[in-house]
Amino acid sequence: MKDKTNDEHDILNIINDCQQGNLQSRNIFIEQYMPFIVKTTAHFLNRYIELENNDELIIAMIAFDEAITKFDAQKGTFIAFAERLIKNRIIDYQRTGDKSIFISYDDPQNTIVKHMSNPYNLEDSILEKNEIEAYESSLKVFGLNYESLIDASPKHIKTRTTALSIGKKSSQEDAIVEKLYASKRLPITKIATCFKITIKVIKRSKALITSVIIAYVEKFDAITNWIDNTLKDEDHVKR
Amino acid sequence: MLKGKILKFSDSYAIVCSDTLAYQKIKLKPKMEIGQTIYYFEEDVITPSKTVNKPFLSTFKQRSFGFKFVPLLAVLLISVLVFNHQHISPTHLPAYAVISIDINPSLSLLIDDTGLVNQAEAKNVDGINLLKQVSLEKVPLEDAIETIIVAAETSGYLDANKRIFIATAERSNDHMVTELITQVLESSAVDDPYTIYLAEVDYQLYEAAQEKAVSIGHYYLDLQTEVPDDKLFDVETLERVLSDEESSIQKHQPKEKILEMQEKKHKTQDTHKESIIDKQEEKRKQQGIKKEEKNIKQIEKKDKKPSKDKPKTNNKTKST
Repeated sequence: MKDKTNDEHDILNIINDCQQGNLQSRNIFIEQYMPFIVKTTAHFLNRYIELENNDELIIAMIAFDEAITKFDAQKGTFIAFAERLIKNRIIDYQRTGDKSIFISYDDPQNTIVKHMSNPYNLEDSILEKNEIEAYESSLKVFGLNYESLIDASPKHIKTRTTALSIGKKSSQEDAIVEKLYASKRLPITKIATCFKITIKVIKRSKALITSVIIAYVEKFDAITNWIDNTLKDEDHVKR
Repeated sequence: MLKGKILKFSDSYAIVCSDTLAYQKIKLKPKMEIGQTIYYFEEDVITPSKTVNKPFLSTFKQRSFGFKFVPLLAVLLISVLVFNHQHISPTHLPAYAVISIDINPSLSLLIDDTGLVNQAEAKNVDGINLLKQVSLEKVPLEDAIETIIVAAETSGYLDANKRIFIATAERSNDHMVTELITQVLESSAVDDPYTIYLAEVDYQLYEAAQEKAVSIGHYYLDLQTEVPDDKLFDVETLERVLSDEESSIQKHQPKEKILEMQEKKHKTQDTHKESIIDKQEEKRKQQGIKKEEKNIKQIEKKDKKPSKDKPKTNNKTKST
């Protein structure tokens, strides 16, 4: 296990590299420290940080980049310096009310810009909210709700991904969907025989599979897009 | 760092769906809205274990000497458990109810008072094979029945007749477990056209059945009929026992069949109301005669068998 001084030594080396103009190294360093940037911002603002369209997060990322440029090893640790700079820049932003954000360095991998994409659309967000509420109403028909899915969903990520995949495939099989909607219970035997999976696998993710089938059959796009992203990420990891 | 979509709010928490589709409760913070995609951290997640375990552990940390005794206590506990295994093994724990399922695999399930399966016992070779495929312990009774039936079907144990014999024996006579099973059978838990015979038997049968190493259902049918063991669960045998007024067997058929039967019944009622009433009266008379004959037979049986071995069924108790 690395000790603290070794960590700080590594950070100093990377920062030196960044200060000498290595943009790739700078982007990777910012990406690695995203949890720190988000946590510092969230803690300071006392709220959760949205993934997109969050000005404060962008200000914090720019401040972190500024910290890399301005850091002097003789004045203390980098983390403490970066934290102070992030807080100061957010305070400045809130005081001045200046809504224009300038990125002062090249951002070839769109590390910052990707957090600025997709302009906020009130209509879309209302539609999404309605859809999420309608989805729970549909789940209730099958004896499920969001609370029950907390306990019923498998704890292991691999098991969950398998369940998502089974649910998505099942939603494309008319016989399975008809049986589910007629009996209000997951046709375990049919799914097991259809996809040649053991009953045990289906049984332990029964609620999650049912919820996924409902989302695809009733076309709850907010949910299905979320599932598709999960499955895409998992495929990406496998490759 | 986790990413999640906010789905719902309550007074004390919000529910998010993470980017790996884990549904989680998180702490409430200002400016949250349904549909927002947010970053959150492990410390924001509300888990039951977090709230229960923290104070307990923190008190242990304050008294550091307590930790030194934890391994010792664990060893003591294990040794006590090992030495007393005979007395506290699940077979000796009083079960709230016992259920047997005989398809061809013969299984006994010991149910606790919360409706969970405490122990599953195989009563024949097919039962052993079936139990290798499924895990039933701590599973709700309704799910356990469904799992067994589904596993039996996929393993090819369910024959063309598709009949299943379930027997229940409850320690207290509140019929809770039998009602629960009836609900499962009447709902669409079983999605194929099985005919299920359900018998409610006396709890005392369990010990007698254990001595003979058979299921309570097997033991009960053995008492009711004189057919050999291999024909015990045949449809003819079950129908014969079903027709016996003193038996406590109910028959559950698939909903479609029941509806068909009801429709037919209504049609005949419209056209032949009077003749049906006559037939019913006749039937009642015949049943009265049958009952008397049975009572005589029972008295004769009682004289032959020693009274302590004689198990009782609920209906028998009522009739005596």
